[in-house]
Amino acid sequence: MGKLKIKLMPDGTIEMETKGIKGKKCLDYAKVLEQLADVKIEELTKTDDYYQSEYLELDDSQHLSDNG
Amino acid sequence: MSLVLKAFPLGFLINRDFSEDEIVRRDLRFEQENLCLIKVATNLRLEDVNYLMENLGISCKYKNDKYFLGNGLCVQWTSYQGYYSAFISAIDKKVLFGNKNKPVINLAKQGELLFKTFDVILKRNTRDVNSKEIFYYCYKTDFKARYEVIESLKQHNIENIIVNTENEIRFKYNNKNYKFKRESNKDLFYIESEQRISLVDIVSGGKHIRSKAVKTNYTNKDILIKTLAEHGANALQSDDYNIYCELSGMQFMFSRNNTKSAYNLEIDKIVSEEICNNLLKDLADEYGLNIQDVVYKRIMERIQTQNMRIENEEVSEDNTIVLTIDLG
Repeated sequence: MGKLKIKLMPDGTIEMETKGIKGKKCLDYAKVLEQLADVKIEELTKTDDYYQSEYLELDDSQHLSDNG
Repeated sequence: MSLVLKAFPLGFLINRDFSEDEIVRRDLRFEQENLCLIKVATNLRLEDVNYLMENLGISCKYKNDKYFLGNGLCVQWTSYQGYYSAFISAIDKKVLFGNKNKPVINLAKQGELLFKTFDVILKRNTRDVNSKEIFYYCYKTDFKARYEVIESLKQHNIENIIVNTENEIRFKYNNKNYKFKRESNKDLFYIESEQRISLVDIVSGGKHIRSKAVKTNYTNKDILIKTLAEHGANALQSDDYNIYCELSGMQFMFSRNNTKSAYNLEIDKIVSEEICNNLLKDLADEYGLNIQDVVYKRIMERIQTQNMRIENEEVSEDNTIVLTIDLG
């Protein structure tokens, strides 16, 4: 599962970055921050992770059975 | 405005046993123990003096031509050609140096504070003399006789010593005027050291700036009120859309149209542009830190109820708190 890196700046602003969450799903965590900190998001910047698809890593046995 | 003095008189002018030692000159205790009087030339007339002493905001008793203030200072006013000079001393030695029950007061610091208060009350600089102000710090010395003073000055290669009377000796040293003086009924001389300080504010660009409007990013009423209270705000009043208070003698009025937008600020009766700007910066810094503190506590509290855990927590040099949260 992924991680959130939250920076609480001394001027009262907050920055958050998602780690290990690929695709559009990372945007859902903006809402998590809103709920956790009771704040309003003013700006969103999409990183490379947003444009990557989420995929499942299969182990060898799954791979073989899938190929049947 | 800063009146912090960097120039203490040299040690040997106060006590013959002291050499011209930097440590002696800069030693706060030494300065504090020997400074017995501050004499300040002002641009105040009698009506100003009366108004100031009535509106000081601290207890004040008048006896034998002297005002005895609740902060431990004694102020005596004397006039010269219609303008008044203040002679500031400590009420008694115990108050100045402290004992088990009473705190030590730093005469220089309290004297500065008193004049800052005068400036705030009259909304102008009360000391200006053509953008320079002249005042004197008076230190007690251990010199008993006139010849001792002269001998000591000559030993330190000081020339142009002018002996006015038996009890008054003037000289110049490092471009500053000094005067040894002794009251006729006293054994020891004291030394008056002239101080010249440039004024930097009160008047900005030749114009008094009285009021101004500022847009803020303050949206949280409770945290803003807490921040103002931490800065010593007086007469604090608030309703849903407005907050009024007094800070450093200036009037602050915060207002907004709805409870979610940021406040606009109007400041009136500005004492000095520099003091005002510094105060605004301090408020912004403190408001940010208060927001940071509240948000940090809120996140830590709420995270307990979610399926999350803090994996790492760091505080960087610029006071940024960095939380790494494992989403489980």
